[in-house]
Amino acid sequence: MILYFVCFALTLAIEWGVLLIWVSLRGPSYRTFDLCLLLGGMNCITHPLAWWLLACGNPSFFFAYFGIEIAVVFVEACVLHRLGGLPGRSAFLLSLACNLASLLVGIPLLWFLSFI
Amino acid sequence: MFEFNRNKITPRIGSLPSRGLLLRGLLLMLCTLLVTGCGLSKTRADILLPGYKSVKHYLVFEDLSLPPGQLLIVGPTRGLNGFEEIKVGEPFRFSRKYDTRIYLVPVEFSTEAWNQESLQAWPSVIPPVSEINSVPLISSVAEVITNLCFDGVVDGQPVFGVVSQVKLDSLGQVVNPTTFLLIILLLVGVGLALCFYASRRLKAGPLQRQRSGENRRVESS
Repeated sequence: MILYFVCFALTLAIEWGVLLIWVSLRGPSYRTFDLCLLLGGMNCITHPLAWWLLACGNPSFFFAYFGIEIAVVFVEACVLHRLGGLPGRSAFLLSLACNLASLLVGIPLLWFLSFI
Repeated sequence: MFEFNRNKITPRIGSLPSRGLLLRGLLLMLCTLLVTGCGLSKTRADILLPGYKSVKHYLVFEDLSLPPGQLLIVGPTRGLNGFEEIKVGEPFRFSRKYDTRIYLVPVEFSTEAWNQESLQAWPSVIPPVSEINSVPLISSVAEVITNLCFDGVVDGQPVFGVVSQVKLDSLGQVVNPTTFLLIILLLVGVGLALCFYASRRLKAGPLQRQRSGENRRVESS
């Protein structure tokens, strides 16, 4: 269980990092804190559900994995667009960047740590 | 006077990105890597990882009342020899691939004679458990331990039963799916509340927030 929370915290940290970089590139906004809250809230919903679905496991795990990841990107983009007030394209790109970053950081870390 | 537009997040087009925010973002990611390196050396690194991982499945007898003058030996019928005596409380591995069997032999049976050919003469059974040798990579299970019991000898064959099975994570803690489900529900609840709160704040906009702040100040004074 501790492991799950570490992974969850890691996901949040990476996605918040991406959001802060994104905001800084787009220009400062009063909404930074609110967007961080929204992103955190979304992750509280999507991350445990995705984890739980994947932990159930099935033979077509890879398809399930990428299916769930894509679903998460779209759900987060919708929430950022509808609740966060971001334009649709920006919301999608931000969601994609956040999830891609966590994916791209996570997998090499696993391989790296498996050697330790 | 500069006025915020809540529908637009880029009030300063063409200006340099805020260095403070950029630094904070980079610092956060750097801290993440540091925490990961320090704290996750025995865990999975991230997040939602694809694939499967192998787990160790052990069998153990917590109570073993064998007929007098007999002992249990476990070993494969394929591959290299790897026979060992089963002792109470000592976990041992088994494999469906190498067709591990549990043999009931007399105590006098010489240790040197423990090989696949000589043991064929003695009664044996395969362990009454389906081997779990892999789980999804994100599963926290690292070990599976099945407790067995010896039910006696029927028709010359030893009979074993399954008492219980526990799944442990890499820290040796019991993996409890119910607890995890409760935590998921709790997190989803927190997530919904955060989304609701954030959306209300975002809809309010800065001017309303400023006004409400001024009102509060007036009320307090």
